[in-house]
Amino acid sequence: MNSSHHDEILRRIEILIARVLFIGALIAIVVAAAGILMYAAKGGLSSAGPSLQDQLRRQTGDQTAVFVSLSQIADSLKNGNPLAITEAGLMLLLLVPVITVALLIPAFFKESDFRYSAIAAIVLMILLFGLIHRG
Amino acid sequence: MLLVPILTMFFSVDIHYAMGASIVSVIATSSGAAAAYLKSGLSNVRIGLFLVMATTVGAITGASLAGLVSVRGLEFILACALGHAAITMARQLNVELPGDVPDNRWAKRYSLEGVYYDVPLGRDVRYHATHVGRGFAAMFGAGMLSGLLGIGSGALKVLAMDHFMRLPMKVSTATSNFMIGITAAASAAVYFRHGDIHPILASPVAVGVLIGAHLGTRILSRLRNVTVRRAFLPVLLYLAVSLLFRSLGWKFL
Repeated sequence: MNSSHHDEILRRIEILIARVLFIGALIAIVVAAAGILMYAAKGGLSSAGPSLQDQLRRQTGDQTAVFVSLSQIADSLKNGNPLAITEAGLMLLLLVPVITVALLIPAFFKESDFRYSAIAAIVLMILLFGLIHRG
Repeated sequence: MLLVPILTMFFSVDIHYAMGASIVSVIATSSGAAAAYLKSGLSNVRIGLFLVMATTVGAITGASLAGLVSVRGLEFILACALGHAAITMARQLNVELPGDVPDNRWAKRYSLEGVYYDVPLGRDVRYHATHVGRGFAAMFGAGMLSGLLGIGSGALKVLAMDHFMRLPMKVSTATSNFMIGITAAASAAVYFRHGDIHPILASPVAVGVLIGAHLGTRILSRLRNVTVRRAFLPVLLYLAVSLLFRSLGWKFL
């Protein structure tokens, strides 16, 4: 495989990755922002302009504000908690790089770059391990 | 890397929420900037993917160790590493492109090489990596710090690529951007389970950095490598000094 062919493959893959990363992050951010706006519309951020730290402290007392599991987010979504929408958006954002790496496996495979297809698979496994292991 | 100190010092946010918001913002930055970087041909997906094998394992290790290791000690180590890097960078401030880069077995085997069009030089620049082993080890360390401190540690990744692997500065910067998002994703789940990702704090921060990153990166390809170095050096110095002070328990303004 000569190097200009190599470069061409890389360019094609880079453009694919750029699109996925940007569009994915944009969708995630829009979802997160929509949740915050709904929360503000409900009066969640009002109460005569408290400082950021006061706001966070108040939220921490309220158990629905901080999320630690996906099932908790799902339950809160059912109860119509707008902050659950925000947190779901943030979860989506965390998944964007994982999705990108997953897409690199077939992308390199299609270009017969099996070595890098395998490397992408290794990275995906590491990421999935990070997602599920209890640290 | 700057977000955690800014949030804790200027907005007196709890350090855990600051770290949670920071790790989210790293992913937003990486994704927002990736579009511009990848289209400019500056970042190298192969080199990035090869090296994230080291950073992601480091990040998971770091995030798992977070409660067990003294953060102050780590900050001290990081401060020393950054200080050393700043000195080396100051010495090669006027280096536009690395000169003769020795061949490396691993770089050949894994095609850690590429080409980009350099706008200010007006020509294609072909490059390849060297000292892959050292770079890989440095990446594991950078990943570990990322997981431990909730930072992107992009500066360290840039250094490993620029300093050890002798890649052009702009390629190092752009490739590190591609890597920080993947590295942060590896440790983010741990932060999430600890309840550190607070929706009210993390989401506005993420929106801000996504927009900022997208706008900011459009200028990189038009800059000279030397200019990027000059801009990067004060950031390194600031980080090194502020971290050193913090690790010694002094308040830093």
